[in-house]
Amino acid sequence: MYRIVSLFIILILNIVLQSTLFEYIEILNIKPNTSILIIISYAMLRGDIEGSILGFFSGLMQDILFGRVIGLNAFLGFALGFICGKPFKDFYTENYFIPIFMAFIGTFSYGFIFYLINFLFRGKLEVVNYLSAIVIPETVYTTVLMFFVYRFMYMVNEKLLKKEASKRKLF
Amino acid sequence: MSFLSKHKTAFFIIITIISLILMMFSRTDYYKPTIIANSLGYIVTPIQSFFTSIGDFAYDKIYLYNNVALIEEENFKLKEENEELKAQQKRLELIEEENIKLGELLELNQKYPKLEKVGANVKIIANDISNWYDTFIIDKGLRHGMEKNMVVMANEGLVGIIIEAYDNYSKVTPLIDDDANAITAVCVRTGTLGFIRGDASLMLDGLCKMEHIALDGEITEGDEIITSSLGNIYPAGITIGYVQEVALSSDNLTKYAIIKPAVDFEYLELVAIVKGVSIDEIES
Repeated sequence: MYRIVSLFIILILNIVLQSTLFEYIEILNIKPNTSILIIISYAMLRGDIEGSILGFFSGLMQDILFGRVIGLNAFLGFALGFICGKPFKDFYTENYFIPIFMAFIGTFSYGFIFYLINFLFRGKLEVVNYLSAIVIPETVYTTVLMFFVYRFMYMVNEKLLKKEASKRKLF
Repeated sequence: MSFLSKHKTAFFIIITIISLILMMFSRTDYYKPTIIANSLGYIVTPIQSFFTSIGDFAYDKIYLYNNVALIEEENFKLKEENEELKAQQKRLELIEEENIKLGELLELNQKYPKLEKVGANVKIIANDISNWYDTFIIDKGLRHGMEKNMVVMANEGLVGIIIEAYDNYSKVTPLIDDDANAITAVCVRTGTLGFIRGDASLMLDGLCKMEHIALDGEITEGDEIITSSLGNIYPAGITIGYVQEVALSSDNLTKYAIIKPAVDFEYLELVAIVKGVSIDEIES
């Protein structure tokens, strides 16, 4: 219960900050996409099932508030959480290198698939244009922020684990 | 949880199918203000409003401190312009009256109908979080009389259109957005027609495209572009922007122009809402 409430608060705060104050930290007119980072870090900390559920709701919220079609970002977030949660049993969560590497790959493929679905199918063929103007700057800017987001999510996860451990019945 | 982790593939397939079904039945064309969207609006919009006010306040203060001299100069210029415009306004009012009388004599319909304002100084509280689109949210909704397909303006010119209205907020698509509907536009100087279209790579610089201009249509840099009376939703005669560049399109059959909108989309804070016109209204 604690977990659901605190994750809900984190998602709401993130979408609010991203849609309001992030306008002032734009570089080359590009804002970082921290909701992807939250999905990736949570999936890496907790595994594919929980990561994909968080990704689904994060994307759904974005779709309801800003999207033209409900379900597109929800599906992309779901898939992202599912795939990034796969290696969760195989690495030390204290390590920063793998999450940052995953953030790089994840943001790039998210942007590229978004372009494929929303632009290429509508006949906008200037791939290089879109990649160099939007996808690559966004990937670089977002990857840099992964360090802080992963630290934050790691801390939240540890706190929640402690809270849950005290409540767990042994028998 | 343990049940889900036993049937991972099934879980993945079921969620995929659910999202596909959602996508099929939730296009903007058949939108309805649902309970979920309304209640999420009640939670999120007050917080967004709060953070936007903080941002705007800080930005305004910093801007003020940095540009006091500039603002003073601007103020002086605006006062001069105001005097001039006031004098012109009187003359134009007389001309309009005459025009109406003559129009009545000839039984003509008004080509430039008066704009019916629904809301003034409506605040923008949030921008799209992705870099692909530029949709924004205003803090007035169905309860304040906003409806789908109302036209959004800032004092310099056209901004866009309300695509979805909910209880206490509405979604606006600006004309530079890649997903925006095409606007029928006309060049003031020569009467050349074209369609205004947004483009994601131009949107970042705050520009848009005017497409399908006839090859012999006259249009050059600096021409003013306004909405045409041929279009559906948009009232005729609203300034869209100025031509920045004209070029041949890739098929060599038409020309296109890069338009710099009259409105600065980068730091837009307040907008006005105007009722749109529909073709049935004009005909009846």
